[in-house]
Amino acid sequence: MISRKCIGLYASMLKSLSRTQCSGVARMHQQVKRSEVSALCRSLLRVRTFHSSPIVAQDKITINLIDRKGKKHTVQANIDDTILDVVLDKELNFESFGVCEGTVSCSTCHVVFSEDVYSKLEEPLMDEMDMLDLACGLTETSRLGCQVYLTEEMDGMTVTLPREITDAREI
Amino acid sequence: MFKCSQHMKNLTGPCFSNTISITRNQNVLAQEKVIDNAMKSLAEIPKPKSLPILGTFLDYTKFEGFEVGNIAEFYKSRFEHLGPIFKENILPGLTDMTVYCSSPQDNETMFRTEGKLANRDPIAVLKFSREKLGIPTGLVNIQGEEWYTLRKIVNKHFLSNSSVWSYDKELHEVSDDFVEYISQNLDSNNEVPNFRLALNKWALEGAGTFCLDTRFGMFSEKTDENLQLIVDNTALLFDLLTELNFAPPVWRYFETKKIKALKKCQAVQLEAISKQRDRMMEKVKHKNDKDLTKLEILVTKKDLPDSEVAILISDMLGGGVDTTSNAAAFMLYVLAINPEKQEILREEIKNALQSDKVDGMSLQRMKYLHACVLEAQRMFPLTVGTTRRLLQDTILSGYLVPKGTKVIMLSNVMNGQNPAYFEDPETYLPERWLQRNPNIKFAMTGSFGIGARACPGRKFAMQEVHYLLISVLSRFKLQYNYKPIKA
Repeated sequence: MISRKCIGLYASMLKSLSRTQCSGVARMHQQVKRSEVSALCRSLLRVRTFHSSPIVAQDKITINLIDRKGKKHTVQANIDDTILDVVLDKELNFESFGVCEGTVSCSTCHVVFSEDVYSKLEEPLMDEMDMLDLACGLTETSRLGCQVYLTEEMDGMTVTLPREITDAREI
Repeated sequence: MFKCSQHMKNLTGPCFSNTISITRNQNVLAQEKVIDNAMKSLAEIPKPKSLPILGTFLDYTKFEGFEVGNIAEFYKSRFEHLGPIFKENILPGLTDMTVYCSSPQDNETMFRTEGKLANRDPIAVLKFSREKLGIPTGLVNIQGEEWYTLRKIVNKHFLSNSSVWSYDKELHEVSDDFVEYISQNLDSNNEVPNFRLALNKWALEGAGTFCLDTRFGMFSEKTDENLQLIVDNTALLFDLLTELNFAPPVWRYFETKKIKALKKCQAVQLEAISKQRDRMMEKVKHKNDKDLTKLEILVTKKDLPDSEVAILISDMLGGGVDTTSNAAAFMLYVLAINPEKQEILREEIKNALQSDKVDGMSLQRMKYLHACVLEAQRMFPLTVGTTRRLLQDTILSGYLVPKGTKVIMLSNVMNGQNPAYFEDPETYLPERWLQRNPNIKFAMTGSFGIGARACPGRKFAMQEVHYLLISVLSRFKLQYNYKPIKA
């Protein structure tokens, strides 16, 4: 998990680096127009801009979250964040979601995945299994949102919150 | 090994209790609807024979053959006579009318409706003595928002995986030291003469790493004087509390010898803990923030009031030593009398040790190990029940139990041996936890309680037992050649 976080950090560092490169590129473009530098220089610039784009695209994905009332929320989320992180970050204020703050002590962040995404997830750990045991409206593709880390492949996926309140703690 | 998808399939289907598989709003509506039609009131709940002034107190005396150690049997016979729910007032005037329930459905209703500020009666005598000493009464004795604020802070230490898992090296060492101690203390029959003592030492060492960031040194010749003081008084405190808790609360009116002893032993223990804490703070001064252990972060954190720290540590030690050593004793016993299951577990442990580093996360992937622990808990429940005071009117087994009533849930003792839930309940069968079934939930049998006020040390305790099994089984074959032990 730590290594995952490190990669995330590394990616965002690269991203900020590439941003400064981009602004550098823009400035240099103006100079290019003015002083007509060589074609070699221009090709070098192209190489640089080419490198920056995929890195920017890599650390954010778009996911859809369907709340308990059936309303769809489309958000940009960081890779390596958990679904609970996303809900907190984006201040989605889902009713009774993530009560135990990711300590795997309740089942309020219970979410349902589509089958194809679910099948690619890592198996849940035993503490998550124990808590899912107590979740209501459990499906074959249920997980706890605090235990699922976002990956690049999840871009565009839809996650659904069960209508049932699984734990009355936040009443 | 089972596949996860299969596992999930088994989890779907009818929910554990019909009233629960509905939304909260519907739940409230359903409750209201039933309340309208509720034919039965609290007054109609069956109760045992009770005398005018003495209540049912005599049933709890040696005169009637009662023993604290057999309390589970005692309740079982109560349920046999009175049905799945009964009420009782042991000493009217001194104690409250209490409702006892045993069905898993009632257990679950309680869990779903208790709310985030679940109310659990304080340990009256502990609260009383701490008030007399003029110190905070501690996490176990407070309620409402005050409790929630404190619990939220300590949950980060107790329940977050990153914290619990960060003690992997220490716990591994503790278990290895235990194994070493045992191998040195084996007699000519290859038996350990005082196994219970050995397990107690092990549990103390484990709790020491988590509560004080230190080893008590129970397995070595020399122990630190201050630490020994903590150990002795923790044991004394536990014994005194057990005695006082099961006796009539005379201490409310007279300064009894026992209550004096309880106050004194707490004062000594807390002083010793504070001394140890000062040592910890001294160490913290020379450390970078990023090198702090999880406990150091908790203790030095500004949001945890200074006055609470020693009390919290005292409670952690009080709640985490005897319980864990008992859990471990039954765990090892049940594996000793089931050699073929022991072999399967040993195989899983061997593979884990060979293939990867064993740490907090990899332990969580050892399914057979986890199943073995759950199954041992089913057969040998460590705690008798879970107590709550209702924060709202609640329907239990068809009776409307009003807000403010004290309820004791005994599902874990009552259902673990019930063939309706566990086929062939006499058999130790960890496999039944590999493919879970919606009718048997771990919370039905677990001894940690459920909900917001469930045992905060449960993850740490589980991890301690896991490491113990790894160390013991990778070095010894367990056997037990004596009379069977009853739950």
